[in-house]
Amino acid sequence: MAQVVFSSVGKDFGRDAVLRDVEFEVPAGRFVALIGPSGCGKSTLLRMIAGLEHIDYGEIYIDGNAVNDLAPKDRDVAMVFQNYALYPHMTVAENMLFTLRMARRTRAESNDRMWEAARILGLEDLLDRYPRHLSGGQRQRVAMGRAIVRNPKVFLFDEPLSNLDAKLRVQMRAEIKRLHQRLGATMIFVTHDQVEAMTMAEQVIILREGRIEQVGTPLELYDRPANVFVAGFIGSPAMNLMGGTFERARGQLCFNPQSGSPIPIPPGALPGADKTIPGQKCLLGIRPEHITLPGSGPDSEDGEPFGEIPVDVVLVEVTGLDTHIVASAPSGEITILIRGRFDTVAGDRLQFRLNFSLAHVFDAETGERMG
Amino acid sequence: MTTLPLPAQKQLPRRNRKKTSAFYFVTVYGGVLLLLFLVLFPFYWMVTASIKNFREISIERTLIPREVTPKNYIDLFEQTSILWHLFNTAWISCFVTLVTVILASMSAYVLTRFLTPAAEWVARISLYAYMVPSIVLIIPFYIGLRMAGLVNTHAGLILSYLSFTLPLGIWMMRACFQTIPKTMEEAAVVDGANRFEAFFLIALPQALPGVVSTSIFVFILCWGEYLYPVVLINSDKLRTITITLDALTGGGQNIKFGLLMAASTVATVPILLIFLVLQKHLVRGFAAGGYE
Ligand SMILES: Nc1ncnc2c1ncn2[C@@H]1O[C@H](COP(=O)(O)OP(=O)(O)OP(=O)(O)O)[C@@H](O)[C@H]1O
Ligand SMILES: [Mg+2]
Repeated sequence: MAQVVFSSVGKDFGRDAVLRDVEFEVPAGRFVALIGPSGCGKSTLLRMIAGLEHIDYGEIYIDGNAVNDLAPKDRDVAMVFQNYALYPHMTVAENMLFTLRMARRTRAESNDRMWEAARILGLEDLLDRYPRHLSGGQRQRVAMGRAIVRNPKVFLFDEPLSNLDAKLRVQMRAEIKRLHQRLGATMIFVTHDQVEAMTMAEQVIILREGRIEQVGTPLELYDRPANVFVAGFIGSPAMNLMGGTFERARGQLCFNPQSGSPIPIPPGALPGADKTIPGQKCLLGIRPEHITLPGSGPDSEDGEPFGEIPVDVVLVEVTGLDTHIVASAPSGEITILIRGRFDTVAGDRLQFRLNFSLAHVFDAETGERMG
Repeated sequence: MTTLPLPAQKQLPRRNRKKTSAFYFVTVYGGVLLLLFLVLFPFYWMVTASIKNFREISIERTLIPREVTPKNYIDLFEQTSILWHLFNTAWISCFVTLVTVILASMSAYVLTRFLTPAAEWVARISLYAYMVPSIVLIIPFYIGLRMAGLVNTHAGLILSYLSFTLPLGIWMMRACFQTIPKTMEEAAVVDGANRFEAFFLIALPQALPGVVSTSIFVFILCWGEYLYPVVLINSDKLRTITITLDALTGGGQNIKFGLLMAASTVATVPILLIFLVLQKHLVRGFAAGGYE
């Protein structure tokens, strides 16, 4: 168990800056997900912790010690690679014993630990097999086993589930989570799947083009995204974003979309709107699950006609558990998510009701959150 | 299930496939047989001639020996020191192969893993170095080795062999390491291995097929090398097998075919044995490497 701290870390590959001024702190024993679009530098960041990439600027501390000049083997971290990187010429047992062999542990102790890891991961029957005779899920387990035998200070996972099929992925998700609870070790988990990040992690770091966009708990990211990027990245289906301005007419605050008529906002519902200056271009963000149909949603509290807009249904998607409706409004296309079934087809005319108290306001120019 | 008659249209492509596969069969196997004949007939002639008597070889020219005689072999071992030459060739070839494989795999590893921009040039230069014909280098080599006092020694011969086996070995091993992904070594390094351990315990075992084929290639080159020993060695005791064979042609004036074929057979057998032994490893090595 150890704390991991990044202090204005940067990395260049040739002329391209891959990481810029990355700063965060992972408290000891925490499970952290590192998430971002492809090519944003997640793997690079992880490899810098492991010591596989040089740290060009700044410092990385593990357990209070700067590790910039430490060789990978002296950092006491274990890494699970995306393609597992099992040693093809070694059996499962030898794969797991390798790190203990390198640490010059005694044979008896090594075997004990290897068996312990095999038991935790259910690999007892596979110990004599070679990696090429294992299924994807089994290889994944061996890669995890190789990491846990050593009981390292920090675990690094680089998209370990991305090669598995959907069902196995859900199963391994739970298994990794259980492993974390059992070992209590610091774990940093790279993924580009936001569901994985949200369900597994205690803390999520969002990276984009080598910069940190936001650090927070999954619910913080969901409830208060720091900017448009995070807002669009977290949540599925993605948050609806409408461009426009906020206007105050006769004491009534309205959202004035780029096209379409102004939408009145209940007093005090949207603190972010009060921070805008008149005429400032903004983005109004509302998650699909925070738009309801009048009378059908749970939040038809007072029956006031606030935030209702007319729309035409474009597309209906049914998952069984819930229904996604994509509809076109004067201000643009809007997606909503309804729990349960709803009988509608493309071409229907509906009223959508925007729940402003759960909406977000962003500056259209900087993308930063307001309020 | 299987006894149900198949619909007619389903049988049609099948008949077509049969036709093409018959054509395929004839061309491929015919070609292979022809090649085999071309390759194996000289061997057949060599081995049979070595057990024929003079009349059958030179006058009757029989295809199948009527009378089998060990005389050529007895003469060979009595008149020449072929066993001694065989021993010289064997140890020099083994030594050069060993040194080449060790040095080449290590340099090739460094070239593919560390010096990547420079490596392209080093690799190209080593290929060019291999392509330079020995005949061009032989005089400078002779002068250099004479200054070092290594003319007419096995050490000098070994050095001269390395001048062409190393570039070849580096080139072959580099191609081999390029196909091995780096991630396993990175995993090993994170697992606590140092660079040497990552090389010897992770990269090299995966490169085993390349090591075996490089060894075979280098060994055969050394075994059959003629130019360097003929120029650098002049005492009979230090000779290699190619020179023995050369001596038996008697300068083209008085070729002792029986002896020559017996000597050729003796010179070929070790190579065949090595092939038979290593071939198994070659196949096994391929089976053990990579799984993705
Ligand atoms: N060795 C390298 N040399 C040059 N550029 C590199 C190197 N490794 C990575 N990059 C670049 O650095 C950027 C970040 O790469 P990285 O592998 O960290 O992305 P990632 O976030 O892990 O993406 P993915 O989700 O696709 O795995 C990419 O633009 C990539 O092209
Ligand atoms: Mg990556």
